[in-house]
Amino acid sequence: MSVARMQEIQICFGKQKQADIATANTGVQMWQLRKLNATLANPKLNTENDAEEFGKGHEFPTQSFQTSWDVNGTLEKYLGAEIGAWAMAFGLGKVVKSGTTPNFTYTCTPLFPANGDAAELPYFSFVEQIRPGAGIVVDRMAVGCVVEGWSISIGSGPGRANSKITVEFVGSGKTTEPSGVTMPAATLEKLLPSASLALSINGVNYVSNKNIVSLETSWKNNVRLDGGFYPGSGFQTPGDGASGAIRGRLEFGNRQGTLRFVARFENGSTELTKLKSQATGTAVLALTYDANNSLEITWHKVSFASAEVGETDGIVTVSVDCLPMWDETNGIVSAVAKCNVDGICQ
Amino acid sequence: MTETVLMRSPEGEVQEVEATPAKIVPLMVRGWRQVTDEEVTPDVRRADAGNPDLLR
Repeated sequence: MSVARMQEIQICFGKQKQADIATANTGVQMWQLRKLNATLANPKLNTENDAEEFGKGHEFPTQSFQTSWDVNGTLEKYLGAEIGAWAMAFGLGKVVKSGTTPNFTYTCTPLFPANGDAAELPYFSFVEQIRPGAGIVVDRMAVGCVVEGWSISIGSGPGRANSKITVEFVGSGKTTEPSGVTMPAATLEKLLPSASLALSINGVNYVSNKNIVSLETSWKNNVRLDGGFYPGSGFQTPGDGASGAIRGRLEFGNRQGTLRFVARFENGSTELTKLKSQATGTAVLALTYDANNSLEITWHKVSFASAEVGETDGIVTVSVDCLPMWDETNGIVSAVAKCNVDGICQ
Repeated sequence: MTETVLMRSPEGEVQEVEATPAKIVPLMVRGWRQVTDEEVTPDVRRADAGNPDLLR
């Protein structure tokens, strides 16, 4: 038998959302995208034993029990229009789709239960395969996954690595092996390069003044993992109480958004002044491949939480942490993602 | 022609809304969600829509 190398791994996951946490995506609802990290979304079986139970005459375990299942994973990718749209839709949770081929537009916002939205995020299935079929090495599907968070980093430099996205996800614990999914053809992805950035924060256009060095923005759902196990949440094998419990819901907790950036600091730079005055404004960052493929993220009200002058490669720079705040009209954040692909999170 | 989407409020009101972030995002934040044509009966979308002959 030949050795299996990690380059062989293929992943596909729900482009469309699942009907509910327990109903897996079908193959036609999935897409195959490539990734940069070798990490696998290994299902983890949690066990307990009877070591602490009295009546055995000793302190040693005599039995172990399958109690529950966890699944989590990370996708690291060059930022493209497709994964950008997917991460915004599944990560924020609320989507309005407009447009027609080849220009679909996904307007995404977080869910707000106070206004009647669900507290559960949209679910998707995640498949990993290495030589599925007769020579199977890995072929499994995690059902009922949600996006725990995404992080976008933009840097200076010519390569693709200067525009990346990392998506973390967690699952209900339900897995299917073999997956039963025929891997769809790889999706052609449109890179959203760092050089396409448009950036305006708190009244300053950091691209036109040529001062932006790097930025990072992220969203974290802080999913209530333990809250997924409730009386009746179910088992890995339905009806088999010894097969380990799985989650019956995945709700977000206290969500957090971040935006930080490094810019050149020169005469007239306003970051320290705005820190002292706690001035607020919008922060809009946009990355574009072409007219039909782009991503624009708007933090609707930010102030500067910290601003420290330092250096980057011998140039005086200022490192700013923004505080995203609630705006009465537009909420905290929205994303407008355009791409050629229909049906994302629908 | 400006593209529109159908949005439904938490109270059930349906509106045809210009598909721009400036119009959509404030509604989404207030609990409105997108609905499809199939989810909306013709006379909800437009007072004079539908075929009254079908009712006879």
